[in-house]
Amino acid sequence: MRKYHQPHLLTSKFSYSPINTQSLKFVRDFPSGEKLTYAYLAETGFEWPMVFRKPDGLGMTLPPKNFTVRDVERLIGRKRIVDLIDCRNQQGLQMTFSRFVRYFERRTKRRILNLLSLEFGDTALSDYVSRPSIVNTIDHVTLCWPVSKRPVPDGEIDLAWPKVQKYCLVSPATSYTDFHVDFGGTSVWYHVHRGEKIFWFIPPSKKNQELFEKWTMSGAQDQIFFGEKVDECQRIRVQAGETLFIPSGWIHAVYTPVDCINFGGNFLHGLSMKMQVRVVEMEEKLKVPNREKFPHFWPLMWYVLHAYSQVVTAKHKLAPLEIKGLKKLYKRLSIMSSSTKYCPASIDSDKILKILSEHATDILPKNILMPTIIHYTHEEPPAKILKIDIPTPKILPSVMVILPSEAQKLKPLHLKVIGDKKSTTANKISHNFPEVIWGKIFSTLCTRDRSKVAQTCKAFHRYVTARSLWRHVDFSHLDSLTPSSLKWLLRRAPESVSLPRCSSYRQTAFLLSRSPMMRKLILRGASWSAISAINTGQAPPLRCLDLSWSVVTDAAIEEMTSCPTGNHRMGTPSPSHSRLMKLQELILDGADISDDAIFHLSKLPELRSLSMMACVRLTAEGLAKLVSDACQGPLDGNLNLLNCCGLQADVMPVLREFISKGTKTIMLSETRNLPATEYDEFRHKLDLPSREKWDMHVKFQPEEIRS
Amino acid sequence: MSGIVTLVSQDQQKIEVELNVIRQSKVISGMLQDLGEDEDTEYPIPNVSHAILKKIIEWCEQHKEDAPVDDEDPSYQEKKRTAEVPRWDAEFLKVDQGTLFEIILAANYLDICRLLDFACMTVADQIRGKTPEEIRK
Repeated sequence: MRKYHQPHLLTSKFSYSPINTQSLKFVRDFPSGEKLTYAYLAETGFEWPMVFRKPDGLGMTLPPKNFTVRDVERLIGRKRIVDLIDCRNQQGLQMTFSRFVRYFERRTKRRILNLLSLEFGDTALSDYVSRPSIVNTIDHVTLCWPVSKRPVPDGEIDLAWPKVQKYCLVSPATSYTDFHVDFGGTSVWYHVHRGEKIFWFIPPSKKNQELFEKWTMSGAQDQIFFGEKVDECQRIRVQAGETLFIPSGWIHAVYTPVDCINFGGNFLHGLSMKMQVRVVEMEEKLKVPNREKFPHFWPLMWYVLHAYSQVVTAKHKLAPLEIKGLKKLYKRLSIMSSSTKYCPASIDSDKILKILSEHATDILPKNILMPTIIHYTHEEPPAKILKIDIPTPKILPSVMVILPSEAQKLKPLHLKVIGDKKSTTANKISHNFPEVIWGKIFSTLCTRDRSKVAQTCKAFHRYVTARSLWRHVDFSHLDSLTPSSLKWLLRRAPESVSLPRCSSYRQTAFLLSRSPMMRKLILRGASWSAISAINTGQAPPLRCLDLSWSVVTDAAIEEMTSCPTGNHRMGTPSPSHSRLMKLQELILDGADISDDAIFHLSKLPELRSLSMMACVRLTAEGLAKLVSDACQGPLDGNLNLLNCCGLQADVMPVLREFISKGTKTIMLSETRNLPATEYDEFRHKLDLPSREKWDMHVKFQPEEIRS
Repeated sequence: MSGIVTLVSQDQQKIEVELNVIRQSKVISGMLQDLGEDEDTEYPIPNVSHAILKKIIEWCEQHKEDAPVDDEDPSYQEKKRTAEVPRWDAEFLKVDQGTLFEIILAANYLDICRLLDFACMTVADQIRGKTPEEIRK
């Protein structure tokens, strides 16, 4: 429930004085713990708070007296995140335990941070602190929660398991927790290790509970001290070394006069089942958020009922309090709908309710007459639950997530997959294939087939997506580039890319700026805007560029071969020359270029091959620029001048220059201006160093020439 | 030197084969160089069964006239991308899938790169145009 810090109230009116009825003595006071047995609890019903001035006889393991918060830190781990409550504004906050320890050891504290919810059952500290032995024998979580669902060391942390057994509470002086009822109607054991605590107790009578509900919902808790609203309220001081038991449902508040370390824990048990259900109902009424409720309360109740149903069928006798509690539980559970029952799948809820209903009508009257308490005065009365409950965990299947109907749906599918795999021996063999072979097989497939292969299985997917398969990617058949295909291209990082003709500037610029590995770009039939991305500062240094049948003019060539003007890569010096400086092969088939363009091309220092098929405006004068001293490129590759009908007979000396420069192949075609006869003449006149090196292709177009 | 070598397959069966035929396997020609071309020497091929070895020798017989190819040559790789499987090879490789896969493994092991390429292309042809569900088989 909500906790408030009220220093003004505490320091003035209420501090250290018993409230209203001084003579009232709710709390039973014991010098030590020997008297606390199950028989005693069954007899008195565990209805009153008990304080034990010494821990002797309670069967607790406790850390040494000089055990400090530093030791706690060492045992639970510095990095453990703990939930704290700032007492002034009641805001929750989180910090690591080591930070909290530093805060706690500070002499003056600006804030009052109260550590109330540090469960340490799964830490090393758990070895130093054990619960009172009576708690171990009656705790329903210990007795009834199936063993298979309990956390094991180094197991899953997120198990559905009511983890409320051991808390370490560290409270600085003046922290105050306002009146509340512990979640799920749990009973509490509480050992003050250092410092002291002051408790106010209000018994859980119907009237008090109603008042408490009203007070909680009033929203004015910090204005009104609830202790004043009720007739009876007892204050008790618990000092270091003393142990307190708070029964189920008791409304209490806690004040810390000096810095204090306590150990405590919550538990549910059979003698208070009625009150537990009542408190849970109250929590529902007050709309307590789930995280402040007892975790997995209803599943636990079902396990408890199952255990009791076995007790009942074995004709064991029950304490009257247990019967009252069972009746209350039965009433409550039988009106709950199946969806909100939270019944564990392993438990047949209807069967249990039937057994219990029979029991409630038949055996109950008898039991009232029977001296059941005598039965419980035996040394090991709670063992009956323990003994009978042992089968419970056994019948729990380890996995309860898959419902039978789902399992049936899954089964045939699963079998089918296996069947397919084993259908051919070929498949067995193919699984032994090294990756190289699959690479060879897949390298001859087109993109579409590769994507199909990638969908077949994990291994194929890995082979198909290997980078070695994607050195060359051909997208020229696509109608358009989509964002996803661009992304896909970037992931493959191919060395050579062929893009569709309708690529836009933004697409090519996006791709080029992100493909530093690209060496060859094929942009056939593209627009100038798409091509212009080649010479932005972020483009890779291409080796080969194919711009055949694209819109390329003299101005375009000039721009491509000059310094890029756009933004360049961050952190690099601004480029001093064109991004095409490394270009070795350029294909400009069908471009609308003239001799001016040739001048610009001559500035490319590494250009080896040039294809200018069907560039009709080219003349010998222009080509001469490529063989002049001003030309920087070696041009020792191929020169394609097919269908360049602007070339006249005067191109022959220029071609000779090319040959002497080392050009491997020159391709020319016969046109009106360049008849075959002149070729032959020219060829004969030439003194060729090696015939094979100069392989001149002559294409005859006789019909046109003769006409 | 008689020009005949004896190969021993996985199931201990012996096959005699002409030297210039089997030279297409880089592994075997390497073995011949290392072990010397003695007549009596038997060359174990532990990864290949008798039937598959016979099949491979049949292929080698057919292709013994072919010019040797260099797998690393880029122009060959370029050709490979566009080339189709020759008719004789296509017929030769019209076998069930299990045999085909065994031929691939054997060709890979014996390093007969053209046979391996053709066989891989055949598998690729089988994959081509199929849905993932069909490829799985």
